[in-house]
Amino acid sequence: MTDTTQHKGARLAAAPAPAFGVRVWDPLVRMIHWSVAAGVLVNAAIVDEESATHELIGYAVLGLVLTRLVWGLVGTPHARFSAFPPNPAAAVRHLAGLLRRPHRAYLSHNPAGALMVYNLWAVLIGLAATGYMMGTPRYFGMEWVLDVHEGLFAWLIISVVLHVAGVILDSRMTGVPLVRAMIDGRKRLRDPTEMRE
Amino acid sequence: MKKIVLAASLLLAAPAFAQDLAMGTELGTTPQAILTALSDMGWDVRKVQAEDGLIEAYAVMGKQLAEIYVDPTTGRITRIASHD
Ligand code: HEM
Repeated sequence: MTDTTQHKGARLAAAPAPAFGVRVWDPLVRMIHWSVAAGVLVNAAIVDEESATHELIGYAVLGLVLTRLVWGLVGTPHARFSAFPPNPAAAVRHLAGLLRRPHRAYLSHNPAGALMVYNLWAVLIGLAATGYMMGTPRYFGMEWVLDVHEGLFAWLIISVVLHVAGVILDSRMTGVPLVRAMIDGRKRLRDPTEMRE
Repeated sequence: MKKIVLAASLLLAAPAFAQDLAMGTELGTTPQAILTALSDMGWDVRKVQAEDGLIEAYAVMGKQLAEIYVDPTTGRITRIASHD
């Protein structure tokens, strides 16, 4: 507010590229995202894997993911599957295009991010399913169920590392702070005409 | 009367398997011996493995799920974790 005495035109010229905040992530999407992330972290690093707490957190995460999947059908526009359809060809094109400019900002997930998101949901459901199986008389103590559960967990960790790397990379290349958007729900685009669903 | 006695003895016989498993019960000092001992008691043994210096067996009987830990030096059960 130091420049209020200046001429209006000068103030606009001196200002950085105008930030254009678009509401994209509704509160449910954000709450589910950070709860799932926290659940995964706690279950992976803190809680004893043989404890009842581990099971409880696993089912809680499953419940959140299933809720999100329903929200993908009936939720707010950018949260719907139709806003980020799984499209491997588009994902490859998007990744190949990273070397070129300009970088496009997306209101929902970019095509590579979309594939990652579906991958993360599938892995989380697989973990809950194999975890449940381990506690049934039919699959209790079965080596292969444990192997699948552990294999999925290893893949989840790799996926999360790639996911966070992708978020950081996309934020840098498009100038849209994605983590901030997942916190307050708004994507701040440098150039609103560049945005895509 | 005979029928009642028979039925009663059958009812008593079923849980007798599970009663055989208790802290200190001797199962054997090798994975193979433990597998045999548990199988003879009627358990469906799913897996036997070394775990923290103990031998751990995963076994199922009906709806009972048990993780049984045996000290390989004494051959006796040191811990039973049952889930059901
Ligand atoms: C265990 C950890 C994590 C899991 C399982 C996970 C999973 C997900 C999923 C499933 C989505 C899609 C959200 C939706 O459409 O509902 C997502 C989006 C997102 N996540 Fe994570 N996440 C994790 C950790 C993180 C961390 C640590 C960060 C911060 C660096 C982060 C930042 C984001 C951002 C910014 C988006 C939105 C990306 C975009 O704008 O397209 N995530 N995450």
